[in-house]
Amino acid sequence: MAAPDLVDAAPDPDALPDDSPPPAGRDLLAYRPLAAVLRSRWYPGLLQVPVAAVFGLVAFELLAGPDTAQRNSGTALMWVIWWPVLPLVFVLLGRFWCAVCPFGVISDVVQRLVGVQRPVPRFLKRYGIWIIDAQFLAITWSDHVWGIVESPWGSGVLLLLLTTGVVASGAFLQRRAFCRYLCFLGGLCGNYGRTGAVELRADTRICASCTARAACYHGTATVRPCPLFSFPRTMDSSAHCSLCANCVKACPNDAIRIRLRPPSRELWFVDRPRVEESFLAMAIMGIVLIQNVTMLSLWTALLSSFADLTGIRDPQVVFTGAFVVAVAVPVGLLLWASWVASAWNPDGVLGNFARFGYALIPLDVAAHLAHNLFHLLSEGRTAISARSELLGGSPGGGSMALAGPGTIRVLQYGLLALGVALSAYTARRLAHRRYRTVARRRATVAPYLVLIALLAAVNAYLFALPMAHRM
Amino acid sequence: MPGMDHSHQAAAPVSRPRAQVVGGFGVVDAAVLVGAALIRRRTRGRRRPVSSRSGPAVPDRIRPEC
Repeated sequence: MAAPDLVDAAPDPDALPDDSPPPAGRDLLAYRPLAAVLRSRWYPGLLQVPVAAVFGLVAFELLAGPDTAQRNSGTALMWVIWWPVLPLVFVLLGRFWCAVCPFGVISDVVQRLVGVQRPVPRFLKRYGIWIIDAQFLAITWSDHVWGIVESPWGSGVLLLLLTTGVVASGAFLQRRAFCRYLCFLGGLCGNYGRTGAVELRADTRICASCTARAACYHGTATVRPCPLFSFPRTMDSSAHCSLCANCVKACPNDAIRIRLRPPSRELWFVDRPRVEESFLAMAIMGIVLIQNVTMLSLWTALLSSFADLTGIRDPQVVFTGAFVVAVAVPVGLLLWASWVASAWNPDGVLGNFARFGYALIPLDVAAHLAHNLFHLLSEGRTAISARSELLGGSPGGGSMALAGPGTIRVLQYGLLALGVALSAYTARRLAHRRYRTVARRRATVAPYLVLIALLAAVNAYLFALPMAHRM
Repeated sequence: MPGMDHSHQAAAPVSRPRAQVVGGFGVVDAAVLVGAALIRRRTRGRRRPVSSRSGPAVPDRIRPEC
């Protein structure tokens, strides 16, 4: 088999037309109580208040509370409760977290007070996702090297750094530019949010006769514009929709629809695949793998064997090497699968990499959720214990687990199986949509199915090994 | 996590270097806010050209289809 070019080939003459199916599911705005809530001037503000209050408490505890992670309720709330639950919110509600995120509130307040409202620089629009990719890798790396998760002070400094970025963005740029183009969590939200079970779209038949000058995007005298720069009329992805409902309030024609959809459905109809988003998906897979590996009891033994073999005794240097390999391997495997697939279709290696990288997102989310589930269920009581200590009670002894190891493992494998099924189905749908002939579809999908099976097997093996706690 | 200290320590007051770090962030944030406020004051009333406004490329008025 000759090595295919890295440059995309000419469009496939056999390609099917890009006709996304009509939206399915009932419009949730038809339910009057829900529509009233979303159209209310108090939404999402009323939800932001308690979240901001908890954030303030967490930040205070991290910066001024006990030095020990186990006794610091800020660490427990942040890394044992919030972080593991967050991907679940993405699967259920897409990017809804961004609507109530305290950093978004800080940005809005700064903008109202001193905002200069400059347009977002072009380089940020073009390369913002790469900056997010780099940030995500840098934060994960520094977590291991400087111990951000297990150090309340380290977590506090991370929050201070993010706050400074948000303040600068809110002061100088329009809307929530930081959330859209720079926030690493926003990038994760965007990627995982595509698997979300809720979608907001405009009814384009109504929009065709709209005379409101894109009020859904620009806002009105009483409603703020879309914070994430999304235009509902042309929106085909939930990656940049936080369900803040500004467009619902601003649209004079009631053209906005919010529908339930099967999780990951959006990935079956990706029209404009981007290499950087597929790269992020694979980088996250690598991060989840290395997080698993470093939490294994085996890791210490691996470190000493490596030191004996090479003479390199600095664990940070070894971790940095392992981190680079862990991120490079899934990316390299996706490149390999794309190289094989490109021999059977005219899309080129990068074209296949960009398109079919999205098929790995459900497995990504499942592996991430399964990893986090371990921490949530095996250490969940730490948060309760730390909170009672904060309120003057005794920390309490005994197990910190909310469920037994057997239950946790069954749930982890169940999630992983669901992720495999959704990823394989997504790859199949993408190939069916893109190519007309059965032979081309099958040959294209085959290497990606091998990749999905391989990554699932590695994750399953790691989940079977004894893992250390986060706190 | 591996190498994590599981020993219990007494709650420590915020040490001086930590207060300095928090204060440093506060100073940077305050400087950003003051800088933005000054720029906003200087550019108040200046209307930006339409071409530099962000937003979707939609005409100002879309006529209803006949």
